[in-house]
Amino acid sequence: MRIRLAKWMALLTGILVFMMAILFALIQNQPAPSAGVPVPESVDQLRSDLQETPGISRDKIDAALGQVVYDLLGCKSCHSIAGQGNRRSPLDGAGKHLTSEEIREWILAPDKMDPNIRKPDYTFLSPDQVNLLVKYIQNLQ
Amino acid sequence: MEGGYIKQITWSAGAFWISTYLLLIIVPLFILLAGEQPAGGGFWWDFAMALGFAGLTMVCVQFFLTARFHGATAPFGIDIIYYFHRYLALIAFGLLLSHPAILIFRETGMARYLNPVKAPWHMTAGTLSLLFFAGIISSSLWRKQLKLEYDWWRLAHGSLATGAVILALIHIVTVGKYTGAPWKKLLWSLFILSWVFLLIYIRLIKPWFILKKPYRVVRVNAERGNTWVLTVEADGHKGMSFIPGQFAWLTLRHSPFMLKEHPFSISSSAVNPALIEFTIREFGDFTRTIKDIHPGEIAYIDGPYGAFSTSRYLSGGFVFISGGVGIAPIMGMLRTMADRHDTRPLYLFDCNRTWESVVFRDEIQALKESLDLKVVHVLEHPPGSWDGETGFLTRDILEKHLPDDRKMFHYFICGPEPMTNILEKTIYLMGVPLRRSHTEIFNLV
Repeated sequence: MRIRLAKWMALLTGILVFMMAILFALIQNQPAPSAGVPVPESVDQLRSDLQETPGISRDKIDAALGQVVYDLLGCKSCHSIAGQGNRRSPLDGAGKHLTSEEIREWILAPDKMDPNIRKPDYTFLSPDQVNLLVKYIQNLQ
Repeated sequence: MEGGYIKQITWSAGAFWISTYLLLIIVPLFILLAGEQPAGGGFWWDFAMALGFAGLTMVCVQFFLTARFHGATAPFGIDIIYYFHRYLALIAFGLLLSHPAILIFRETGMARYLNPVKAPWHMTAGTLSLLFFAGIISSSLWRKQLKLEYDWWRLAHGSLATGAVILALIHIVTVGKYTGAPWKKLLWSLFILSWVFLLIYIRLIKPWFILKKPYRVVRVNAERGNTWVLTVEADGHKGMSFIPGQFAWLTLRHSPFMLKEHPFSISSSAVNPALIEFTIREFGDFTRTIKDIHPGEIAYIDGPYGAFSTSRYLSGGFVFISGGVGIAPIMGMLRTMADRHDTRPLYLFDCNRTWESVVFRDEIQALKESLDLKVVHVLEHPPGSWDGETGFLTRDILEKHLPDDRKMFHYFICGPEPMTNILEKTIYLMGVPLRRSHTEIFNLV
């Protein structure tokens, strides 16, 4: 009976730890406060603001806007750049390994690139916003 | 009132140590979420991470469970703590295995980290750590089948555990997603490396104290049933104060620093703490050498341990059930009660294979003179002239010899594990509450 008690205590401890791991994962994955930010409006607003600023080239504006799209979408939940974000899928050097078309495919139809992947598609973005994101990632050498 | 009764260790002490244990394994996990929180990586990702971290904290606390801390083990009995350690190890290993398994199953490309040629070295450290843990589990579960000697197994157990934990620490600190903040890195490193302090305590401080209190072998007497009685006497100190039924780790022909020690029940009376007797049956490599020990040799003792003692309970009478050399701690209790002129009714059911293998047969007979003791010998292979109980001890035999108020007694069972398990259940079915049924489990390793 004492042995059985020890077994049960160990099992209950295991269940408790398991539940705590679930709680940990739930806390970690609460909806981000930025999730409600309307991406298109924010980007369009920023573009018009930047275009009114003298001395900034179109390329620089696009790169900056691409980064804004990346931040607003919360890409860092699954990706990291220069160690910032989730290191499971680093994007460093993506511009070297992937063509712009491949990057676009990864954003819009990831299941075509890898049928087993669990990654959302971002088809709700406007073509302009996708272009900005592609440019930003392509610049990651 | 019985002399020598010690304050009963309460449930609250047990609850306190269980809560402390649970806090120790859970708090470090949630410390990871304090301060700047890393970005969530999806439920399964973070769940896998949490399982890895939690499995590791459980493993770290494993070191403390077997460090023989008197206060923490007293409410439960150290034998059961070793069992707890064993079951927890399996659960912790399961959690640790789920960590990569979930990632490989749920996340694309994670399997590539299993290849040491292509994986970054800190990922290989994680894989190696798991392999070390697998080695610890398999060498412990199948030690006898693998024919691993106890001392070698113990050395391998400690070394593999040390290696596994260091590799795991390298893995989590280098990956660094959750331990990014320096204070988190420091806290986790301190937590994981706390066993280094424990190791210093176990390997250096504690043996040093044991060394300061040596014992000398007085005699080694042959008993029936391939059993030896080794008596030691305190050499230049007062000895070890213990309660009857407890056990101690004995070191012979080695320094305490060598950790070549083995646990044995104390079978002598607790009235004389300077003269300690161990009753040892020849079972394995170490026990076979007892007969070669000579009087005058030095012995070292780490103890006392165990919760299997009549001195912990106020009771109107006691029932003892022993199997083979399981009589050793019970003999300690009977001798102590005889020395204290105890008058309560006592019942001893002594189970053995043959009449010739009944350890302390004559002395048990003699104890009936000084104690209110009824002895029932149960023999598996009785001699032709035997008119006593035969076969295995059953409920019928127990009820035949015990009085009607038997539910009021405390029961002490010590014998081979299968026998102990069956009789524990039998006694429970006889209506004896679990709190009055006490067992001692031999098989610590």
